[in-house]
Amino acid sequence: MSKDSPHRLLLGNEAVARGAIEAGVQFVSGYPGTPSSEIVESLIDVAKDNGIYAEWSANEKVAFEGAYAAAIAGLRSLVAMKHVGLNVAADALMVAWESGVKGGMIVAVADDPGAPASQNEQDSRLYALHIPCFEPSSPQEAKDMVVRAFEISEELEQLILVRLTGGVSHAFEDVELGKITKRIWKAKFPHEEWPRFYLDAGWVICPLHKRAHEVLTRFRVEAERSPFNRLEIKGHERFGIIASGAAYNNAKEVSKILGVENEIAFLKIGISNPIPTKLVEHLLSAVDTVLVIEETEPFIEEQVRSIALDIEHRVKVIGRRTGHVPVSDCLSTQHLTNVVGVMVGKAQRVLSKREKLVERVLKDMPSRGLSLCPGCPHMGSLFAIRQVLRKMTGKRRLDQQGFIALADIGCYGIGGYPPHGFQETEFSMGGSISAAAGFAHANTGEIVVASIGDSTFFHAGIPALINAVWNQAKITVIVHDNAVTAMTGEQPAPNSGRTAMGAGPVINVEDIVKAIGVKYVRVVDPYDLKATMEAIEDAINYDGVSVVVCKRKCALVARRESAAKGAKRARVNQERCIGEDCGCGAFCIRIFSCAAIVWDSGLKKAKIDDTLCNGCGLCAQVCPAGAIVVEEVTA
Amino acid sequence: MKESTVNILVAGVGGQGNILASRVIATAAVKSGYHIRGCDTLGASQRGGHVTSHIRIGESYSPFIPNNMAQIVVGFDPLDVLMEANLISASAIVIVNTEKVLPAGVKSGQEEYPEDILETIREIVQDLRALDAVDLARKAGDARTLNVVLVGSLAATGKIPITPEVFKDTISEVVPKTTLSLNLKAFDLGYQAISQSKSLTGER
Repeated sequence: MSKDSPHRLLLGNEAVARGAIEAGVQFVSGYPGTPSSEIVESLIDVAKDNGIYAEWSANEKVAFEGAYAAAIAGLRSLVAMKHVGLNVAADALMVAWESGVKGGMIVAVADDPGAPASQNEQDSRLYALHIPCFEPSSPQEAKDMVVRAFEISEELEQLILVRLTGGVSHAFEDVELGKITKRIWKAKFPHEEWPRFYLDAGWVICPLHKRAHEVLTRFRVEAERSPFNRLEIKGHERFGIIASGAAYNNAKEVSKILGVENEIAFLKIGISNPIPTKLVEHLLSAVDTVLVIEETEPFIEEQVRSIALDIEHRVKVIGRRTGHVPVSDCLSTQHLTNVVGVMVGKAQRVLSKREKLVERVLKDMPSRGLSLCPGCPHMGSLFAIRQVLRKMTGKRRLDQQGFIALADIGCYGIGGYPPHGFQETEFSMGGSISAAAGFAHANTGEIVVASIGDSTFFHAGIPALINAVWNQAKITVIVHDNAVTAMTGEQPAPNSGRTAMGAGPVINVEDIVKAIGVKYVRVVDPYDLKATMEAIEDAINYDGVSVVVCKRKCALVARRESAAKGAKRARVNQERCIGEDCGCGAFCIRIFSCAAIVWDSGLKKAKIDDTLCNGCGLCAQVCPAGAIVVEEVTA
Repeated sequence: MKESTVNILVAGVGGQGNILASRVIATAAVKSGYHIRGCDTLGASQRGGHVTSHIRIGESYSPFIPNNMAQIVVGFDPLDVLMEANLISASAIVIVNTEKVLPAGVKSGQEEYPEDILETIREIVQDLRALDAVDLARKAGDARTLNVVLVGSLAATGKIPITPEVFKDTISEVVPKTTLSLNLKAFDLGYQAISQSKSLTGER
C-alpha cells in the first residue's frame, strides 16, 4: 500500500462523510436508520470545526427538503437516510430532479439487502430514473465517488444519488485520504431564475422534465469513460460478469476461490445510471454468456438485456430474470459460489465429512433473538400492555381473538417476539396508529392497541393521530417515550432537549397529543408497573382515541449519564425464591425475561447478573414470591 | 493455494465490546502497514444479538470471509463461534471465552444451549484455546475489559503480523485515558493466558 498519502481505517459510511468533507460540504441533514446512520453521525462530530451546518431532522422528507433548499442557494449539501426513508423523502425527490440544484447535492441512501435491520428489501436505484446514480463497491470508492459526485452535481446542476448497501456502509477499509477543501460559499437564492423552482403547472414543469433528460444525456459521455466503470477483459474469455456495489467484490472473490478468475471477463459498474452502454456492448460482443450480479432488483440487468438486443453478436444474458440469481437476500460469497459455479460448469462438490458435521451442528442451534436491554423502560410498558390485554380478554396466545396489538418501527417492536409475543403488525413509520384506526373502522370487534416510539411519533405518527381523532377511531395508542432515537444509536429526537449541534428546546409528546384533541391522555413512568397497567386499562375502556405516554429515558442514555452517581442493583433472595413453583414456572425468566436475570440450573433458582443489571426494579415488582430486592450499590 | 490473506473472525454478543475489539485489531493492522478489508454484521438490536466482525489482513476482494477461510477466531462466547462454523477453516486457531451469555430462549427453557459445546468446536478445528476471559477481565479490574483480554490473547497466537506494542499503542488511542492502565493490564493477562496455554486439540 502507498505510504505517501495518509490512510485511515474508515467504515463505508464514514468514508462517505470524509468524501463530503473533502468536497467542502456545507449543509448536512438526515434521519437515522441502519445501515445509514454513521454518515450524518460522523459529519456531526466534525461539523463545527469545518463550518458545516448539520442536523438530525424530524424525518427524511424534511431532511431532504432542507438540504435541497441549501443546494438551491448554492451550498454543497448532503442528505443521508436508509432506503425506507427515501420513500418518505420521495415526494420531494421526485420533483427536485426537475429543477435541479445550484450547489452540488448528494442523496446518500443505504439499502439493506437481506434486511437484517429493516422492514423490507428495497432497491433505491429504482428512484434514479431521472438522476445520476453512483454505486460504490468499497469504502475507498465511496469516498472517491462522493468527492467526484459533488463536482458533477454542480456541473450538471442536478442532484446525485449515491446508493450504498449494508455490505459497503458497514464494511471497513484503510482509506487513502485526499485534501480537504474549505468552501466558503455565501448562500444566495437564485431570484433571477424564476420560475425554475416554482413548479406550478405544465408550462414550467414540461421544459424542466426535458432538462433532466438532457442533463443525463450530457452526463452519459463522462459516465462512459469514468474510472468508476471498469472493463477487465483479455479477449479469450467465454464468460462475462457485470456486477455493481458489494456484489462486485463478492463475485471477484468467488471466481478466485473457484479458480476461474482468468476465464471470466468482468465489467464493474460504478455508475448505474446512466449505464456505460459502450462498455456493456464491448463485453456482450466478446463472450458467449454474461451473468449480471447486483443487489437487489434487476436494475442493471434489464438495461443490459435491452442493449443485448441492439448488438449483432448472440449472447446469453443470465441473472434474476432467468432464475440464475436469487431474487432475495444479499449476494454474499456463500450465495454467489453456486451462482458463478453453475455458469462456469463447476458443479457444487460433495460435502466433506467435516462439512456434514457442521451442517448437523448448525441445525440444532439456539438463536440470539432480539432482546431489550436490562433496565429498558419498554420492558415495563410492553409487560404492562401484555398483562392488561390478557386480563381484559382472558386470552393468553397470539392466535386467539380478542385484541390486535400493532408495533411501529423501533426497539419496542421486539414485543412481537417471545416472551412478550403479543404484537402482530409492524410495517412502516407511524403505521401503527393509522392501521390501528383502520382496524377499528373495519371493526373486527377486538381491542386495538398501537405501540409507537417518541421519535417515530414525531416522524410520521402525528398525521396518523390527527386522522384517528378526526375520524373518531376507537383506539389506544401507547407512546414509548424514551427521549431519544434509541434503536439506531441514541440520536437526539425533538424531545431530547438537544440537536445534532447542541442544546435545543424540548417538544413534549403529550403537549402535541393534547393539542390534537385527544381527551384521554395519561403520562406514566413505565418503571411503575401498577400505575402503567391502570392507565392502560382505563385507556382501553375509554370510548375514543386514548393515549398513554410511557415516559422514561432510554436505559443506555440514563446509565451513561448517571455512571458517576450511586447505582442500584437487584438481588434475588435465594431463600425466598421458589424457582419453578412460583405459579408460572420461573415467572421472572419465562414471562418477564430481563437479560440480567439468569436461571441457575443447579439450584433451580433465579439470580441476577450484576454486570448487566441496571437496578430498574421492574423484576422486583413482577416476582410473585417477593424474592427480588433492589439495593443501593456503594462504590 | 498460497494464503497471503490472514482472515480473523470476531464473534460475540452485542454489548460485549466485540466491535471495539475488531476496530482495535483492524487499526493495529493498518498501523503495521497492511491493507485491510472487513465488515461488521449486526442486526437491529444494540444488545444481546449475535454480532460478528470479519477482518481480512492483506489483499482481498470481499470484506466478508468466505466459507472455510477464517484462520483465526476470537470468540466472546462458544455459541457465537459455533454459529459461524461454516466460515471456520479446519486448520484454524480458535480462542474462546468460556463464560457463556445464555440466549433468552435458553433462559426461558424453550431452547437448549448445546451440551459439550467446546467438544463440538474441537471436532471442527485444529487448535482450540479456551479461557475464562471474564475472570481475567475482573482480575484486570473491570469485567468490561473482556474485549481487550481477548485482543491480548489474539496477539499471543503468533499467527498475525502485529506486535504487542502496536496493539498497545492502538488501545491507548481508543480507550478513555482513565481506563488505560486497566485495559493494558487486561491485554497482558489475555496475552499471558494464551502464551502459557496448550492447545485443547493438540494431542490429536
